[in-house]
Amino acid sequence: MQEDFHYYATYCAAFLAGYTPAESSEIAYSAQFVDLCTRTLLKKIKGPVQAATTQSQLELADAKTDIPGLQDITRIWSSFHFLPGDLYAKKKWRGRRYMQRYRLICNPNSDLIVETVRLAKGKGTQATGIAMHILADTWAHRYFAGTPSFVINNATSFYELKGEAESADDTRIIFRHNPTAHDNLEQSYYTNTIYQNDERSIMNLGHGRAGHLPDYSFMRYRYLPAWGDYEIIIKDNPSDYWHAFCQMVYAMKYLRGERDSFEKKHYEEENLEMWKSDIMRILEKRQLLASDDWKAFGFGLSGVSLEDFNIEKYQAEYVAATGDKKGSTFLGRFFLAALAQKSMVTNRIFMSRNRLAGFSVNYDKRGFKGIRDYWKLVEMRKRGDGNG
Amino acid sequence: MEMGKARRVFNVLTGLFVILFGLFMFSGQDQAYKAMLFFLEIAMIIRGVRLLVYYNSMARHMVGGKIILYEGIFFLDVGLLFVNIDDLPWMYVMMYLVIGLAISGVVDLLRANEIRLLESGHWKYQAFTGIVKITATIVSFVSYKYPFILVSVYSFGVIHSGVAKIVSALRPGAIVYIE
Repeated sequence: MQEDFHYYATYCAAFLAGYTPAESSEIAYSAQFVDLCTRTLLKKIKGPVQAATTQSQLELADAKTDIPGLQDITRIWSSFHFLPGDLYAKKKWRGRRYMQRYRLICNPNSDLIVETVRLAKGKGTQATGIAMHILADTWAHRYFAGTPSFVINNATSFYELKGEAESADDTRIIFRHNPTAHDNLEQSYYTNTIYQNDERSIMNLGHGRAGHLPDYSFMRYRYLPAWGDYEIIIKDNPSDYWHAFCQMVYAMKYLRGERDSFEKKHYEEENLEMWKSDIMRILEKRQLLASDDWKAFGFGLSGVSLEDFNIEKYQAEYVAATGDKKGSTFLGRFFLAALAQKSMVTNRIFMSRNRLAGFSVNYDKRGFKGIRDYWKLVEMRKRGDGNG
Repeated sequence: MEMGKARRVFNVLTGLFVILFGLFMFSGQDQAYKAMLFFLEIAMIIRGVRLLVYYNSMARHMVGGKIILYEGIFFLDVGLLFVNIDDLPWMYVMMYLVIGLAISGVVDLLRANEIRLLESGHWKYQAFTGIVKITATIVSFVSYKYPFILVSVYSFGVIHSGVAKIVSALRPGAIVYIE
């Protein structure tokens, strides 16, 4: 997903869930910031580098693919962009190494998304925004895993669907590998990562082999995933994005306290029926970025025009704060929520006897061991202000 | 994928061995070229075997995984062939090593530029390593008639990777979880 959904659509969903325009704006900001909070940025503002929620293209090109490097990549991408659908999935005749990767395939309505949303409760707009980013991505990024893996994430035979199902009229999608070239919707030229039959290659991380197809809300397509035993996957983005929107509203009603619980496969469809045609019109419009349409829709709902996303908006506040006061700034709270999310997902992957995301140490049983940045979570619990 | 104590110890020992190998290459220039060639040939055979194991354990379950099988057979075959050839053309070896170094150097420079544009002060080390790698590439190309220069560049690369392996093994990696 892109800025159009993570920022503008999330604003709309938050407002429809009952948040004020100001709160909705903070939630949307946090949701979008997940795609921008790189190590490079954190070093610039002297933030905790372990709070990184994404990696830039150059960071990835520079990333080591030794064991700690791969674990670091997996922690970031599985925690924030490709939340595993079933950590205990079964498949016959597959070895342990294969299954460790297979179990990281992202899918919506997992146990982990329930834990993610519950973890965000009572932690402020930053944690809500992070949870909404993750939830939305479970729909857009389904069928891909947040770890470099050739045997899982490679994909072939892409066709854009003209109707509801497979037909002879479907348009073959042609991929190029120039990262600076824009996708061409008219001629069906898209950019994807280079074919690399190396299991650990960064080119095989997430949906890189499918290019930006999962990020376009209008796109309906079919393809052969490497893990699928030659069965075609039909990906209906408008439907998936609609479900993502409805589930975000449902989740945020829970986070606001309007609902008592957050359960799997519950959506806010009935209450959103009156806006469905407007939303589907935006989702199905063939365009590279739907920001303007979502922005106009948000203005129609709230009467407030959401300002353009500005990555530097809260940086000065964080840099100027000293010592313990950093933790109570907007970005400080974002970083704590990000650390808590990464810690939780790493723990769940570790507990499933899968070491792809590294080791998790339970503080209550074994004390503090490991990467120093996570001490902030211990301090936060001692202060009694959540996230623990 | 585990990085438990045993793995850490193994990686530290491997790192030390790699450093010693690099120092040996650097000091024993006369024998170093042959040692380097032998090392590359063995690496190719190991790669072939690893690909065959990878195919058997994972890639045979994927769509289009046969390519791994063919690649494994190819590398194993070529590695065994090279071991049995006495005089491998010098230029091929040089190109194989130097192109990798050049790509790595360009990536370092691009990264440094990205960091600099974000007005972070951490770009200098990245730029330094990029410049060193590009310089080493140019020196290797210009001095292609003098194998000892390439051997020296290769030796430094080996020592550097040994040190990086040890540093990586000693870095704390666990993530704390609070219930």
